[in-house]
Amino acid sequence: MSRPWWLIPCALLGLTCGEGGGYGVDYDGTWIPVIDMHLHPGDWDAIPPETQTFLASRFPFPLNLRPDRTADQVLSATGIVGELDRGGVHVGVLFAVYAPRTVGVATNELVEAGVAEYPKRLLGFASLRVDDWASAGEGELDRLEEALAEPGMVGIKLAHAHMHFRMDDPSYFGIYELAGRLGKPVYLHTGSSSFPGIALEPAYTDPAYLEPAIAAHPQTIFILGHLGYDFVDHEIGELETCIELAHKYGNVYLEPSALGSEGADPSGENYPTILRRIREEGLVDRLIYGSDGPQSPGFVGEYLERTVTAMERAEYSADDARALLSGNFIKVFGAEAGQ
Amino acid sequence: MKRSPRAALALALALLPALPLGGCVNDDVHLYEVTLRGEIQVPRGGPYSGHVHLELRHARSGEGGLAYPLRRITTIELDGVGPFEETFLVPTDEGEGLVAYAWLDRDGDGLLCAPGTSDELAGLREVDGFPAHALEVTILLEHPCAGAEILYAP
Amino acid sequence: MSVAVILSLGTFFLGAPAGPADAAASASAPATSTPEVAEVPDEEAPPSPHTRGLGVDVESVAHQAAAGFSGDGRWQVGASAGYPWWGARAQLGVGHGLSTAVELQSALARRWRPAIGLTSLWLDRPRVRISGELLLGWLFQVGELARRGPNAELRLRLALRLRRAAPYLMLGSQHTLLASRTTIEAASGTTVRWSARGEWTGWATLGVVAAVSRKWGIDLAADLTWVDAPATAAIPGAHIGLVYGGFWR
Repeated sequence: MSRPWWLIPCALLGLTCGEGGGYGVDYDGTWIPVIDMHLHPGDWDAIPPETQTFLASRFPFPLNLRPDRTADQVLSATGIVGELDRGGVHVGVLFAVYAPRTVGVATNELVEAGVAEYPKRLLGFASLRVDDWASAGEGELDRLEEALAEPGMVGIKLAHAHMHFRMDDPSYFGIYELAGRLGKPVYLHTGSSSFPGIALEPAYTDPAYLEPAIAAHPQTIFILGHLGYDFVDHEIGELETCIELAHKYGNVYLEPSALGSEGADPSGENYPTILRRIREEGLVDRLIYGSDGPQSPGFVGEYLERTVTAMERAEYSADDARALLSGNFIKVFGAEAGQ
Repeated sequence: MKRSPRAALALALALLPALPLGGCVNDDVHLYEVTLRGEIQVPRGGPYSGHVHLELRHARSGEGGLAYPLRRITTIELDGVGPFEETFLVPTDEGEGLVAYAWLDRDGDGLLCAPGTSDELAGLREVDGFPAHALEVTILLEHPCAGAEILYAP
Repeated sequence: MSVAVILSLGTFFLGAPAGPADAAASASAPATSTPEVAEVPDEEAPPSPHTRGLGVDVESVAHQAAAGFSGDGRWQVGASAGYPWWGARAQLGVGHGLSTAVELQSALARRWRPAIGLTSLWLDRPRVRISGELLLGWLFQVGELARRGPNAELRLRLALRLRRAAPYLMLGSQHTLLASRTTIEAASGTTVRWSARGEWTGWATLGVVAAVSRKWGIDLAADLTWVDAPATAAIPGAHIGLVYGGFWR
């Protein structure tokens, strides 16, 4: 039996996206492999105290008495692969983060080590510090380029709201130029966040402010994370702006992580509504799946289940589901990562 | 040795007041009152109408790899450019040093350079002399659409 | 320091029964002892007026532990371990339908609550006991969610008396006052403002204390606690404990 077309990029990536191993989901009678493009490795000690308290307060008792143990169980590369196994996710993408004000620091080296440990299961996104951009920006770009040269490092992670730099400030456009030159897509957190220390002004959260950067860098792929979701008020937020940008620019992709979680979408209505809007706008071929895990034990699998439910409610076909859960990721990253 | 229950109860009650020695303060916040006097200026011939958004920030916060600049303390709105005098409460446990950042809201939308609008000016100055209850600063708004982060070198 | 004080109180109570308990232990077994009780040779306590005719003529430590109450002249100590809770407790019957208690409670060695308490037996029937208890103590919690403050707990216990076991249900309402301080240093001087919030913990323990002998019992229970409700969700726990007791007069 010949292999389906969408397994070819998997082979290029060196991944085993076959039906074996229990990975994937059964959607409308069709087996679909899953790639989770949004996972955060880390170390409890590299999270600022204020955020440690914030995170601890969200853990149930008695896990909140030893949040370090709970977090370290799932934040290591081994812990994340365990969460992927539990969730039926074959491949995960680890994000480096430099956000000392909010979520803390997960270095490029940490991500590289995780990818090196599980090269068949994990890919990585590098990032950089922007705290002292005027004097240290050039050096940070050089370090970013070095990190992207490491095996399995396939993209760049940015979070303007967490890192505190304006989306429209051309001083930082060198990051997008580098991404375009190296063929590494850029993931951008859009929308608000309930983390302490976040910059909530629209210039740091509203994807409309990204348009000058997107327009100026057509060779760079921009993945709009969280679709501009309002995590403070649990509302759909700037989805329409994301849709507009995706229609206007072929280099814009969309990622629906975290917004469909129990905490972010208590009514369970927002996630299917968002997926339905994207299908209605004919943009399913731009949608790339991510969970924003591991967060807590079991979250990766739980988010996948919620996504499947939301897709069913949004009347996604099996082809739509495959595009979201793995096909579009392979389309965007397959060639680059396979080199 | 025989001990009566009354004696036991009495001892327990007598020792009860010792329990607070273990501490009873949960959040212990230290605020330092600062009266900031100064002037918001714009370049000669530049726009001067509109409210001014003035932010007070710590220069440095955090430790080691988690150190970062410009932790926000508070934001207020001034009637316009020119002299001002405002009193702030600075949380001294959350950072060191003071930085004042301001921008002129020319179009009154409350946003610095929203998409599709004309440029608005911003400026930043480190406030010398903190901690002291009376401080002075002059901020020249000369940078179009600049966030505080790009104007400050730690 | 406060924990040590409470522990020393526990030692005080533990030391109390040595003389009188020995005296009680020297009493001869009651003539009405059933074969079941007679199986336990070290049981030499006098019969309880409430247990005659039930096949259990003596007040076992298990029954005292289940009710959280010791009758006049009786004492007991106990320790339990589990997830997440463990604890130690000493109780002493002082007559007039009251018993006193000293207790140390902990969750994962990060949350501690030493307390002293007074228990009142509200209903004392051959097969059922209902007691109420007031505990006053101090809460210490270390770590990311550190908190400390005076704590009070009201407990209601329903205990049944079976032949060699005492199933029980304990419902608790635990309240802690958490004070915070804001110090404002102004040119005109320093002012201090206090504020407070409460932490409420709802508690339900469903368990059984099995009588190994009249003096020894084993406690097995499920703990359903809602710490800092309603802000925080909670995972149920369970514990196993050992109780031992006797007479002090």
